[in-house]
Amino acid sequence: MDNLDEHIIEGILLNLTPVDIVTCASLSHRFNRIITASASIQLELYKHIYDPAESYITDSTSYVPIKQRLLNLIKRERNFQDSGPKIKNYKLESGQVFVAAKGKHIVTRSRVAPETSSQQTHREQSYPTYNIWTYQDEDDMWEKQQLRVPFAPDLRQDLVDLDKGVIIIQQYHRSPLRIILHVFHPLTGTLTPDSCSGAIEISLDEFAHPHPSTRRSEKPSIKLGPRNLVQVSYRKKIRFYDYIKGLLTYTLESVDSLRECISIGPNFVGIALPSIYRNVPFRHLLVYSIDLLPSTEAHTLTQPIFALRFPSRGSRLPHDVQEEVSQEYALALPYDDMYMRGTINRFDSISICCSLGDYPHADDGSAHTTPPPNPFGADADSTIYLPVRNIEDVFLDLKMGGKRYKFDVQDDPEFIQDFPGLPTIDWNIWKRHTVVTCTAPDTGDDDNKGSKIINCDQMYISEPGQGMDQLGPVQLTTYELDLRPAKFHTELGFAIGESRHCLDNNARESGERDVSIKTTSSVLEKVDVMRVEASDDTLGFTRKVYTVKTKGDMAGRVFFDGNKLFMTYRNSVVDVFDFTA
Amino acid sequence: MSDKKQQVILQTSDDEQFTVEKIVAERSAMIKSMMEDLGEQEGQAIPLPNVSSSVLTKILEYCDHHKNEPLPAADSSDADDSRRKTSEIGEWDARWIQVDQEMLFEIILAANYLDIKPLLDVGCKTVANMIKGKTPEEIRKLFNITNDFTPEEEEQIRKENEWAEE
Repeated sequence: MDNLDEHIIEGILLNLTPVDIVTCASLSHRFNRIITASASIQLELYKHIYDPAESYITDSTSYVPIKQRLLNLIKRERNFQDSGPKIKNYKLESGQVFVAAKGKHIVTRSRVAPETSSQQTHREQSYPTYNIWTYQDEDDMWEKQQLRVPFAPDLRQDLVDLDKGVIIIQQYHRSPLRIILHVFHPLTGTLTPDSCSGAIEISLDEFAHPHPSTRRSEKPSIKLGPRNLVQVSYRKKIRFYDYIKGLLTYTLESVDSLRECISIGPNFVGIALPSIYRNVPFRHLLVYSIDLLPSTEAHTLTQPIFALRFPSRGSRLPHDVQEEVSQEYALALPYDDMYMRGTINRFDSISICCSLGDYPHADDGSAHTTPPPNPFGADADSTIYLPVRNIEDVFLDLKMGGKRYKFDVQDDPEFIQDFPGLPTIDWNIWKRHTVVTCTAPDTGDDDNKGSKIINCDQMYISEPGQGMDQLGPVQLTTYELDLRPAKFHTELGFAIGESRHCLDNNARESGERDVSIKTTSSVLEKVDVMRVEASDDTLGFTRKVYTVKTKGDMAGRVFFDGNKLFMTYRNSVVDVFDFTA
Repeated sequence: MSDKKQQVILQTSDDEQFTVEKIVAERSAMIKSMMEDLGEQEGQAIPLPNVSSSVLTKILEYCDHHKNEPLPAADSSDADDSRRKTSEIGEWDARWIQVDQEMLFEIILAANYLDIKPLLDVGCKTVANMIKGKTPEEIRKLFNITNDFTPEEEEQIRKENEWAEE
C-alpha cells in the first residue's frame, strides 16, 4: 500500500464509515496525516456528527442515547485539545509594564517607582529597562533581550512599532527645551544602549508661533505616524520626522494646539476637530494627503484636501438598514437609533472606527452617568468602519474633478473662514461607505502560520501595606493557526454555521433570535455575526448575517477581526471561522 | 470507416504490443487524449511505460466489458458523491477484481495512471471492503503497514478517537 498515492488512499478512505476512518487514523503517521489533512474526509466526519440529515445524533434507530452522543462529541473536542498545543498561556516576569505585542514579539518595560530622596542619589538605577520577548517555536519559550536605558526617558508615550521593529525612546531636556528621540531596532542584531541606530534632536523653540498659547511647561505630543514617520505636535504645529533618515520631512499648521494627527492608511493623515466648534451639532475630520504637505513651515493654516463632516452626537446608518437589523434582533435600545452611539473615537491604519461601545455626551456636554447597553452584548467591541480605500477614492475623485459629492453643507462661519472652499462631505454621503462589524483587538500579523498572540492581559495586585499596587505578570495567549483544529474549523466554518440543528437540549429554539454576539452563555448556542457592507456600486448596502454555532462552554471571548471569527471555549478549544472564503 | 481505423496499438512497459478496439482503449481518458494528440497516424503505438503487459491484459478485459457504457463526465462531483455513498460493486466487477493483493494495487495504480475513473473506483471500494470492520492491527497485517507510532502517540490517537467507539 506504500506505493499508492495519497489521493488514492483518500479515495479508499472516503468509502469507509466514520468508525473505520478513525481506525485507519491509528495505522501509521501517513494514514493519520492523510485523514487529518483531507477536508473531504473531515467533512464526512463532521457531517456524521452535525448534519441532521446524516447524523447519528438524530438517527432514532441508533442504540446510543442522544445524551451519550453529545458527550462523545464533547469528549472528542477535548481530545482535540489534548492532541497538540492550540492555545497556550504564558506568564512573563512580574513587575513589567506591558507595552506592545505583535506576532511573536512582546515589549515590556520595568516599572519605574517614584523617586524618593534616598534614590535620587542613585538615579541611574531607576532608569527603566525595555524587554523585548521573542517567541521561539523550537523551544516553546520566550527569549528576552534587554535594552537598558542609560538616561531618564520620558515614558508618557511608548513609541513602539513591532511591524517595523522599532522602539523610539524619548528624552526630554528642559534647558534648552528640546526632545531627543533615540531610535532602536530591537528585532535585528544585539541590543545594547549603544545600538541606537540614530537620534533625532528636536528643539521645541523652533515650534514658534506668532501667538503662542502653549505654556512652556507643556510637553509636546509625540506618536508614530504612517510610513517611517514620527509626528511631534506642539503648539499649533505638527512636524513629521523620518526616523530612518533622521530628517524633518513634513510640517502641518493646525488650528489647535497639541492637536494630534491620526494616520489614515499610508498616504493620509487626519485631524479630528471636536472641540473648537462646539456650538454646532457636527464635527469635522480634516483629511490631509501626506505627499501634499509642505516640508517647510508656512505659518499659515495648512489646508486639508477635504473634510468629513459627521454629527457630534452620534452617527446614523441608513434607515432601511436599521429597520432591518432591529426587526432581526428585536433590540430594545435606549435610543430609537441603534447606532446613535457611533462616535468616531478610534483610528487605525485600515479604517476610521466608530466604536459602538462608547456613548455620546449629553446635550450639555456632560457624560451620561450610565452607559447604555451595547446591542451586541456587554463584551462585544462593535465598530463602524470607514475603510481607508474609500477615503482614497474620495481623494482621487476630487483630484479628477469628480462631482460625486455634495459640498454645500457648510453652515459654520468659523469653519468657512479657516478653510474657505474646502470640499466637505457630509455623513449622509460617506456613511454609505461604512462597514458595521464586530471587531477584535489586534490579532497580530497577517501571517496565517505559526503562533500568534491573540490576547494580552495584565492585572494589578493590591497588597496590604504596599504603597503602590503591584503589577501581576503579563499573561499572554498564543494560538497556533496552522495546527489541525484551526485548519479543520476554518475549512468547515460555513458548513457548521449553516446548520440550524441545536446540539444541546437546553439550547434555545432556532426561531428565537439572540442579539449578535452572545458571550455569556454556558450552554451550546449560536453566534450571529452581522456584516453590513457597501455594495459594489457604493450606493447601497448589503447586509449579511452569518450564524455560527458554538459547541461548548464559552470562555466569554468572541473576536472578529473583520475576516476571521475566533471563539474561545473554556476547554481551550478555539473555533476559527474564515468569512473571506 | 475501415476496421483498422477502429483499432489502436498500445505498448506496455515490457515492450509488448496490444492491438485493441478504439472504443475499448477510449475507456482510458489518458489514452483517449493521446489518441487525439497523435491524430490519424496509422500504426503508431501508444507507449504506456507505467503499465505491464499482465496488468494491461486484465484492464483491457474490464474495458472491453464496459465498452458500451457511457463515459463518465470529465469532472463530475455528483459522481464522486454517489461513489462515496455506496460501497457496493457490480457483480461482474466483483468477480473480475478477485485477484491477489499485488495485482489489485497494480490495477489501482494503472487505473489512476490511465485515468479510468470507474475502475479506480472499483479498486478503492475493493480495498475499502477489505478494511471494513477490522482492527488497526488486522489492517496493518493485511496490507503490511508498519506501525511507526510511539506508544505515547498511539495512546493519544486512541484517546482522540474514543468518540467513535460506540
